[in-house]
Amino acid sequence: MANNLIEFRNLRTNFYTSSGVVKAVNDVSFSIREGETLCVVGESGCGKSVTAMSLMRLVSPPGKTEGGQILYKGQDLLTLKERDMRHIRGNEIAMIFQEPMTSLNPVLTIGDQITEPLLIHKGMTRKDAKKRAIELIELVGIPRAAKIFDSYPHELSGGMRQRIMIAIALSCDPKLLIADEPTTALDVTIQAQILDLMRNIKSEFNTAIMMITHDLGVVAEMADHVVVMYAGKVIEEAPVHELFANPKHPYTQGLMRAKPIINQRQDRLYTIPGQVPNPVELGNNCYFNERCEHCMSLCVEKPPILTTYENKHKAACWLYEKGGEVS
Amino acid sequence: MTTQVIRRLLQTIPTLIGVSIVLVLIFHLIPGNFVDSNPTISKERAAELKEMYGLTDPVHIKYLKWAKGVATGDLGYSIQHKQPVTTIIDRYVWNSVLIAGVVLIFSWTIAIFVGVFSAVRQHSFYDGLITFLVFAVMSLPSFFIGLLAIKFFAVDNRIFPVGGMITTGANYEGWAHIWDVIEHMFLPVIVLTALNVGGLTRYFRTSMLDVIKQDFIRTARAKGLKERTVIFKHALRNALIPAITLLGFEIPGLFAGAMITEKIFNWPGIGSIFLNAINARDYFLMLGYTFFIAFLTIIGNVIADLLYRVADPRVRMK
Repeated sequence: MANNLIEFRNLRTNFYTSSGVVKAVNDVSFSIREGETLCVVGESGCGKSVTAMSLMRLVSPPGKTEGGQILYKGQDLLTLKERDMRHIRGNEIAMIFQEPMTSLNPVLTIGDQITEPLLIHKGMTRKDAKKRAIELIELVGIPRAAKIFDSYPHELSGGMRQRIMIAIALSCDPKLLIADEPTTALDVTIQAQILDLMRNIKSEFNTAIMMITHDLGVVAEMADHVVVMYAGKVIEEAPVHELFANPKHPYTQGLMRAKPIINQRQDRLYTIPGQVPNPVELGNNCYFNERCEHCMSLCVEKPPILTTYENKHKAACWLYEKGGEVS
Repeated sequence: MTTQVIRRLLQTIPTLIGVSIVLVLIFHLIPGNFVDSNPTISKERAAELKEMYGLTDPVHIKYLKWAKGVATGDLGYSIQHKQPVTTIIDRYVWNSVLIAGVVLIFSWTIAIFVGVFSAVRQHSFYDGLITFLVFAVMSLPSFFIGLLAIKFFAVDNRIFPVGGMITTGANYEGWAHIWDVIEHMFLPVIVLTALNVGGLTRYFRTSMLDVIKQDFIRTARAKGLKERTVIFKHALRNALIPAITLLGFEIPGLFAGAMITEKIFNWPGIGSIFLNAINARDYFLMLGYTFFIAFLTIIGNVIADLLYRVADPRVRMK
């Protein structure tokens, strides 16, 4: 079994808004193993991206990471000096974002932007950095790399820009690549190409990937291991086959039922009733209770704890505990 | 690029013709004239003079005469100074450019730094203090700050000279002369910078705030760049692009002179000369100077357009 590369332990990130404290990441623990693709799924606002930004220590005010640990190579990233953290960002942990159209600086050339991390982290000369940058552009599957090196972002399409973002992220051979919904803003064919590219990278460089998505199709295609988040908490965690074969949490079950199945005609897709609870007014209970078809009296009184079951399957639901109806 | 420049310059010609027509029409409407303001002249002599200066011509003749001169670089003759308008402008405008140039450099440098820092620390105590000071200074009129500055720094404490450009009676040469002028520049430069820096600071702060919320700033941080590099390399370059338009408008401002401030500090600049010309109804000087500023405004716009091409690759022509 591979070693843990990153371990989140009881991470808490809060946002201090005018209407109250939002616990965007509320006591989250999971780990990413070397060379593994871990998918974090959940709907908008459930804390997936904030978890990733906390890992990069780039949560901007009014957000603040206030508790827990993020262990990387035995050291807690949250207590590192800013200088040392800078050395990890873009070098050992790199990140690509959802919006390729706006994620590149419009006034700097592609070359400038790819060579930047090489110059600061690897101490390369400009000449070597340029050579490496052109290799990287070719690696991510863009032809005429030398010409692209001198182009500006507005001259490239969305898919090409996302490839450039990946090239920037890969420039320093990171141990972990965080991809925050990398394909959400792209059309389906480009999505498939980008996912292919990421799979190749993983097998070629043995880079661990933390993929944030709300697309279960992407999860099925990419993941080794899946973490499901809801309202700032991890509610289920399992290897991908186990999760798809045997979803435990009613929320995950709902998500599985809500996805379309090819060759099966349906007038309407299933939807989970209700809405995500207001993050400011969360009580001391299971946050899913209002929408859950199995809601019991226990669920509104006490929050369930993430418990490990068979096949490395973890879930936080009273249904599987003693005292639950189903056990 | 060269063809772009030439095309842009040719496009200015119809604009200039339009501007000149409007100017002549407006100045024709101004009541009173230089000759009539002198009560010692006899009626016959006044009529003769008016005829001589071309003040009695109908407006289209006036325009054609004047436009013919302008086409050959002659802006007319100042009745008040008994000299060609171009000579007058040339004599005084450089004094104004000296002040305005120094003010431009100071106010932009200060505004960029202060604006960037108050954007980076938005809502902090520092940001609040800057905003307060900026509005306080902006809301004071120039004659008030000017007189206040004279009282404190020239009368109560004799740190700087009260006014003028050189010390009267002292015939300094070389470096001594330069230092003398610099000493006289201090107060007007401080007052004008204080007045200009406020609006610019707000402008750069807003522009910077827009940019640091953009996704590519997050990308830059995620690369592990120093915060200084993120702000000054990635953010500032983008924040400065909209300021180019502003810089284009500063070019005529450079030559326009600051009428009130020049008057207060008795600085021999074009601004106070123009103010006198209006009072004396020195027709050709008013017209010539206004046309000169209009010309510079148009040129400033052309320069701004061309600078956009240099600064922003999205506008750049292939």
